[in-house]
Amino acid sequence: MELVLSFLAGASRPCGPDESQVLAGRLGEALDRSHEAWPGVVLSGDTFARHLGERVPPELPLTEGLHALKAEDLYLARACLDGDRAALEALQRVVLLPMSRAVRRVDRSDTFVDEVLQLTRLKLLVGSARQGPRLAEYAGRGTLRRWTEAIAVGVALSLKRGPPRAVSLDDAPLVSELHGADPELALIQQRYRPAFRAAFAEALSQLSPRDRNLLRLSLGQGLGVESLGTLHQVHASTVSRWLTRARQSLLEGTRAGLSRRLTLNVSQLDSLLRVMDASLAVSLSSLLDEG
Amino acid sequence: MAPSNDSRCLDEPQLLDLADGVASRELRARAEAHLDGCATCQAQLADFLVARAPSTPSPRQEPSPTPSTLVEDTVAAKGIPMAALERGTLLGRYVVLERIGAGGMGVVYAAYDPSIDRRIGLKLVHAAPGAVDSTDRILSEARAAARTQHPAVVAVHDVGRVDDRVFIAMELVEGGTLRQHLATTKPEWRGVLRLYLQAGRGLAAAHAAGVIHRDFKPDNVLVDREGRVKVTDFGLARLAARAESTASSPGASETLAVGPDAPGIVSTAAAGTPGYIAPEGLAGGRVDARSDQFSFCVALFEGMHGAKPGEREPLNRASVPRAVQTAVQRGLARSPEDRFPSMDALLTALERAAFPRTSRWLGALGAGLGVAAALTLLFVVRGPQPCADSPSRLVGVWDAARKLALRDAFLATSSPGAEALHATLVRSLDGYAGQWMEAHREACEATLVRHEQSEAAMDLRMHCLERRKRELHAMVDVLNTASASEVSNAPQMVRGLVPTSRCADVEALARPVPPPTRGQEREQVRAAQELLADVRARDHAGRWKEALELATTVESQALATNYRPLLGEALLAQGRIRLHERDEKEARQLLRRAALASQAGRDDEHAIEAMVNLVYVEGELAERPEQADLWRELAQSLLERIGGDAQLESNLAFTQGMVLTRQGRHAEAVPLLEKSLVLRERAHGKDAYVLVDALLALGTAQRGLGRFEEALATQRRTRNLLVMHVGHEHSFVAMTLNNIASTFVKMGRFDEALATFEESIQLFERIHGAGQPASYLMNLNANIGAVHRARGHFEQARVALERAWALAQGSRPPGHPDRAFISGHLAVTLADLGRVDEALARVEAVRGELDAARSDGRRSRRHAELSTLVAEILLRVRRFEPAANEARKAVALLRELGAQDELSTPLCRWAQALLGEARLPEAERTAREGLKLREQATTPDAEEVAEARSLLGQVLLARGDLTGARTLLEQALEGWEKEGASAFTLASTRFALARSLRLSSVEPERARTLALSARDAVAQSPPPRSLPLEELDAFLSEGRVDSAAR
Repeated sequence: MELVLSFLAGASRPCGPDESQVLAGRLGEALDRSHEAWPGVVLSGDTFARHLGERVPPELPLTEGLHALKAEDLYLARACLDGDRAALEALQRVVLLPMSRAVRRVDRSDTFVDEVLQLTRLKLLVGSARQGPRLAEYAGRGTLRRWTEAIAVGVALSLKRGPPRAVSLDDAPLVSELHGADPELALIQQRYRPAFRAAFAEALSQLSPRDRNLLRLSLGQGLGVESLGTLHQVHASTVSRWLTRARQSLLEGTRAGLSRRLTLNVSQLDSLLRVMDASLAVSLSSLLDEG
Repeated sequence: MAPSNDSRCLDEPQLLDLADGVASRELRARAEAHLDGCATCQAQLADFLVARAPSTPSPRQEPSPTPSTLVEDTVAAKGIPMAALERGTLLGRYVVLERIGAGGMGVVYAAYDPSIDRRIGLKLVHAAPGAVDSTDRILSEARAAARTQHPAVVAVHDVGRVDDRVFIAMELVEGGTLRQHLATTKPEWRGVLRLYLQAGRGLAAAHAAGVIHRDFKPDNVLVDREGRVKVTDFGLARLAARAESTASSPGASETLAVGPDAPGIVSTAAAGTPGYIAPEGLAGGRVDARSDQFSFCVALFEGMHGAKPGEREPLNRASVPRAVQTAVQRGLARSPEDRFPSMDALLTALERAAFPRTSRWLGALGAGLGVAAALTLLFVVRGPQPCADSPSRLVGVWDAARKLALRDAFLATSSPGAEALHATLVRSLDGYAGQWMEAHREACEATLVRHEQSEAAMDLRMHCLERRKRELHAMVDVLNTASASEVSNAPQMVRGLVPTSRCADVEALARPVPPPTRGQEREQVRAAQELLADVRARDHAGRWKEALELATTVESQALATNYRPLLGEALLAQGRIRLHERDEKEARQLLRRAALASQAGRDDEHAIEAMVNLVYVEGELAERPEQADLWRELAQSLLERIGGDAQLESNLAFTQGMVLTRQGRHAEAVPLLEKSLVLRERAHGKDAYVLVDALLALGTAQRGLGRFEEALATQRRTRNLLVMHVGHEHSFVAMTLNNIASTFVKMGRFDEALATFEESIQLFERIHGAGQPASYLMNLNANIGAVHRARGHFEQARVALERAWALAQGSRPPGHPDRAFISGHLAVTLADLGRVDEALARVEAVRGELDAARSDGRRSRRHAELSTLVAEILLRVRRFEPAANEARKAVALLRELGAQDELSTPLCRWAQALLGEARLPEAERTAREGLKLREQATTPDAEEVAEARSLLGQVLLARGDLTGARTLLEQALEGWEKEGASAFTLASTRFALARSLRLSSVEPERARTLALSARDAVAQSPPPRSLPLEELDAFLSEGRVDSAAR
């Protein structure tokens, strides 16, 4: 019954009279399974139950919520946070080391893999000045391994990426692109760029969020349709169709906005757009950053 | 918590779920909303998606929508995509132009190789981390591949390394991969086999040079727009040795059986592409030519049957002959020993099995005459590859021995850089020779192998190619005897070779009257055409005297045979040389005869060429616009008849545009020059050398229209283009500097203008020696003089103009517009300095020359300019009547020439003179027209408008319209003061305003101040003054009397 009380304290809500009996049984089973799964790892039943209680999804009834949790993995996580030596060893062996395969997909050199695993361990258990140990955030909804894999891949990618990219409004790439191109082009673009940007931003805001994201990820981030298909869980050809349509309406919108702003006739606008088109991809990626 | 979720960033588990495609509907909806506003999460999600892409991490796609022409293989490279190279970046000696494709092995750019003056493909390969150590070895292999010269192998010009990037400079093939080609054209199995036979020959040639491909597949075979097949990326597979190999199954080196029975390849540590790689390569064993044979057969099988061996039920099994299938199966044998001993053996077997009728040719062809029959006979004797001997056809024309001899000849001139120039030349001539061989084989195969083309058509193409070959021979001959200066100009000369693509246009080749087919005449025509090749080569080398003599010989031979097209070409060659020499009379006569002879011989293209040259002679050299118009119309009608020709059309538009520019009809010239430019850009790319002259003329025309910023941009583009092609130290660059400086003048940026003129002079003299070339230095000095004069620096102006005059006397005949122009300016400057008698003496001399020229029928804008200048001098000494006559003449001439842009200045001078003569109604009418023109100009010039207003104001003052006068004079002063005009310029206007104020009896103090400042300004100039001091003094003393009286 103490287990139930700790659990309810963690969940900070009461339970119905017949529910407590069921909960007691379930909590006992969870504790047994955990002991079996992690022999030698020591964690008091109360702490464990409270930990579980804290992680029960608020929108679910307690019994169901408890059932949805990966209790054994939460047990290990909690024990690790408490500094249990056996738990830490188990984490290293069973959870962290197998991550190397996922990390290798980012960079296969051994030193890189080692570094990423070490940083991940640090992140899970110690955290940073801004953030406590990440392991405390593990909510037990998926397996600990998959959750850790996500953290490890994140670490690997941020290591690869280096310092955070500037995402501010920055014309520098656009301007330097223009310098390299021929002066006439630069002239036209400089003269009309404010109007172009305004028309473009307007057209962009008229797209659906999905289309905006698709364009950003494909043009701004250079992702292929395969990857975008995975993201949206549709076939690549569907994504390609979406993209074509999004690009088309963006262009049409920009065209309409430009001709309204510059009061150009059709042929003048066309020749302007031909020049713009040449570096549209560049403009797109630079403008898309601004959201 | 739920709704505010949107603003919170996505955490790693969510990103991973999204990237793996297992995210819940809720998560996806939330991500959708959040990503829209969060660039950080977008970037992170992108990284996750890349890291988690199925199987091998796929390379990021090309963000630009440019269709890729060189599509890469699918082998993935690791790591971050290379940063895009900016246009204009230098890699080695190559100038990056644009990105044209990307893929696993790297990025392909179109680039420009200045040393061979050609667009090339530049592939940047990102070496995989593990492969860096062996990069050098692989590079040496790629260099070996570069030695393979075969029409079916993409030529590699150069291989090098910049940092960790390996770059390969290669032939630019415009088209797509064989895989794409097959997917779009869907040929039946025979068509597939034909394409693969071509590719196979490329492989065989490489094998003969000791090079193994290692990664043959349809993605590494390119098909150009003419349907020619070229194998690419020899030996490169190992550069990208695949990083993924151990990731999926660490340590396990899988030996998977490959072949018809066991196709399932998952991964490999070896270079190559799963599915195409031979079993021994997969097992890490020794790879040789037979491994390429295996990959070749996989690809061929796939092409014919729509699936790789063993993948699924093959299509067309029944229709492909058993013998072909047997040959392919043998190539697919698991053990290399069981395959064919060589690619050649495989190809022969395939060819025999698929096209057995080649052996029946002898019987099928009856008594064919001419070249075709002879060729056929030769091929049949040689075996089953009838058109394979194209390469041997350049022996003695451009072969190893000739290259060596050329090197000796170059070195013997001890010209600086002879060695490098030789290397450059060898490269570009190699390129031309390659094109020739390819064109030859293509012409041959179209008839003898593919049976698509008649023998008559092949005859025409072969004949055309024989002439090109003879021209190449003649060019090398001339180069062999080149002087030191010719050596340094050699790369330019080679540009003059007629592109072999001209020989593919059968329709055009068939147009002229055919040459005599038998007897002595046939031989004579052939011999004369050979001689024409020598003429062309000497023409390009600048040996005009020799070329002219030879061309005269050809002319007499042509007259003897009565073969009109030959006569036309001989006359055209002579006319062109006379045109180079600027001998307008001879050129006109020769070109006219050339046009007529070519017309008679139905050789439309040469007729048009002659007419275009005539437009130039009449419009530019002789300055007879109406004649130029006539030839232009004729050329246009002929062009229409032959259904257009981009090159001739662009030449015509250019020449016409230039002539119009000369006549001051800029508004008409600009669209023509732009058309010419667009046509040339389309044909040759945006950086081609042929754009230069059109750009130069366009800049001038834009400036003439007052579109200065555009003009400056055009001119700077011209200079950059020139520097890119000919380097900094070149006369052309100096010429462009002159144009840029003149634009600065128009923009009022005088210091920059003077500096640029000086730069141009110095550059010319550095190249040609002091005082050379006279005609250019003359113009430059005249321009400098004009700038000084505009700033009121009369003495400096005089010095520069005297220098220009000395040069003009040496280089221009009396009556030449340049002479008149310079002399006129000098006269005005002398008048400015107070040396009026000298100025008037000059005017008389100029007038003499001018009258002589006019009786000759010459008319140009420059005559009008001169008359305007004369009027200006006469006005200075207040000789109003002759001044009015001169100005009126200028106005009449400009009206006749339709040069509306130039009309306002003589109108103003005329009005000024009429005012002096007190012919007031006429003066008012004229001044009003001048003002109207200036106000309505495309981009009105504030100072010019102010001048015209002042003038009209003075006329109105004289007529007693005080209100009108004051309004205009105030406007004029305001406009001028805004432009920062000098007190000297303002003097007469200030005085006029002072007088009108006094006559209106208003603002007496202001009237006095105005008159005083006018007097101060005028008093500083030498007599005779534009405003007599006595008049001013009288005005001022009268004022004093007035105020004293009060």
